[in-house]
Amino acid sequence: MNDPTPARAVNCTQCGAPLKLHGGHRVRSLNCGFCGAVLDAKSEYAVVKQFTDLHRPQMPLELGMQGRIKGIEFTIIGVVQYRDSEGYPWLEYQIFSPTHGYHWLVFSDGHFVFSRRVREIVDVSLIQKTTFKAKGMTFKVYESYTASVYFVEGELTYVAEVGNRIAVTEGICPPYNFSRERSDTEEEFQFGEYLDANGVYRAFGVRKIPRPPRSVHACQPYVAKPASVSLSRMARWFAIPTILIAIGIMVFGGGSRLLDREFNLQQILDGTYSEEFTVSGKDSMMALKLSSNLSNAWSWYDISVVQGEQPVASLSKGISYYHGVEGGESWSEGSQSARAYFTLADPGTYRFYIEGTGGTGANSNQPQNRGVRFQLYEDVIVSRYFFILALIFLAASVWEPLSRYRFEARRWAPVLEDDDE
Amino acid sequence: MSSPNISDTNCPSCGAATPPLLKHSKLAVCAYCNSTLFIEDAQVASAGEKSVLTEIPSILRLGQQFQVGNWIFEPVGRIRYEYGASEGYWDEWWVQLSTGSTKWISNDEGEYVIENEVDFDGEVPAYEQLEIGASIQLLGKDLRVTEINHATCIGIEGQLPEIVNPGDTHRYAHLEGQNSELVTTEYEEDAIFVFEGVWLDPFEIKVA
Repeated sequence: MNDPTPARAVNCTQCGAPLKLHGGHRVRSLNCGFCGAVLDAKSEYAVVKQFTDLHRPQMPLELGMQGRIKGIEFTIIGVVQYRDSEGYPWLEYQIFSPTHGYHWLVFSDGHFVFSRRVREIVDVSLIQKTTFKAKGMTFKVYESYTASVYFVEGELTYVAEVGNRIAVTEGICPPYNFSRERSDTEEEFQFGEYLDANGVYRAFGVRKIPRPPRSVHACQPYVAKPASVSLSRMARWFAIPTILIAIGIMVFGGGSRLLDREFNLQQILDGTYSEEFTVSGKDSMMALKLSSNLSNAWSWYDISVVQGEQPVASLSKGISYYHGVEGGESWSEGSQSARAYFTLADPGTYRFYIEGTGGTGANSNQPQNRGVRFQLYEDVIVSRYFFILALIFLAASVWEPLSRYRFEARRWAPVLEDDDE
Repeated sequence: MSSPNISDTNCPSCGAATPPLLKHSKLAVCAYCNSTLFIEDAQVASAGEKSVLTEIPSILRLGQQFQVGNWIFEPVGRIRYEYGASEGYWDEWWVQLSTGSTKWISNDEGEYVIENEVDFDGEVPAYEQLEIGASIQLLGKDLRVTEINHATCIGIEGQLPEIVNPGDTHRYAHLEGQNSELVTTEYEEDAIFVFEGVWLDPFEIKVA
């Protein structure tokens, strides 16, 4: 009875180097990594071709390593390095399982994709971002390129020669990709699944795990942080009510007016009292609005709130407004009004004492003959804090969608840059 | 799952009870003494040969139910073939579906195809006329010749719907079509058999 167990090692028939065998009987070629010889596995390893001056690339995984992918134990039996027309390199490891056959582990810029041949024949469009259906999914065309074989080592189920070219069109449906590969003689379709790189390294027993890749792979799935998703969802519920509250406060929270008085320049410069006003509530939030039609000048007001002869609060506010035309365009800076908020703890009758400076402007040493209008409101609700809160909720609600958008932009950036060039 | 049509029988060589035999079984291998048994007219007779298959890693095994797509099946027999000049080997599993019908699943190092024989009266290209890569029309399909080879039986196990002996050879060709289709033509001395089926994804074959 035939024992189907294959030989486990041979010497290269070209250079004599020991070559381990890890694959099964469907291996077609054995490629010597020492001398570049291609040996025919079906003809007692006769030398088919030899490629010299090969540069062995750095590889994260080595031939003979074993690891579990999708629950199945695989052995790395061969490797092909490809480059595209711009010289961008990647590795394709041929992996073998006696029960599940020969497949590929593609390594590109720190990312891993598990890829296997499928027999489905699919009509693949060549136009970027158009879609096609395969494996019950809709794939979006990512890019088309030509891949050239640059380096080969180990066992393969076909004969790969340095310089061989294939035309590839790749579609994505993260975490999957679907590719059509065409050579001069045949066409094949590959179905790939993105794998977590750390998981692959651990599966194959790599101890010193490289840093995670910074780039986003074509079929890398976007994984939202659970906290971001929860925050965004929660913030969406609060953002609109907060905005409505802020608008409501802005419209209806202005309070009741207690004072509306104009003071002329001389009164301000000399210092003057306002008439009395009565505050009816306890711990009342007061809003004082100052406005003046100063032009290209500033002024500063020291204001005391007085009950009888006793000052109970003091504040200072400035108004500064400059404007002009430069290069045919008008500009302005500052404002002709200012606002201040303060609280008065007790109801009662009060006055303001106001004294001011400034008002001379840039082009004169005489103060402009402009007065200032004082408007005082009681029981004001300050809306700005609600607007700030609404902005925070809005920012939080779009945080996760923005993260997803930025991730997708990074996914497509490499191929859209190519188009621009 | 099996519907025994033959009442409990015993191996004429060792006396062990044979498993329930399917209605279409013509051959069985005793699981205890590995004797090959002929089954005819509800009688079991010894073929006088022993068949031992070396165990190799496989998703499938006899007596276990599996599922792939909408098919639920149980392998009941196996033939191992060697192809070419000892280029390799594969297993042909005779499986019974949950519907009661039977099919063949072949497995060559992780490449799985499920097929059934087709009653075909039309013209089948002669083996000598076949060329790798040639386009052929058969069973109303556009097919491409992907393999031409000969196979030698190197062992059997379980029960089978045909008389196969270790050492028996036949020639065959694989013709691939669109959408995972495969047609196999088998050329024996006085007959040509046609099988049609589809490729299976081994990752989709699960224990049922």
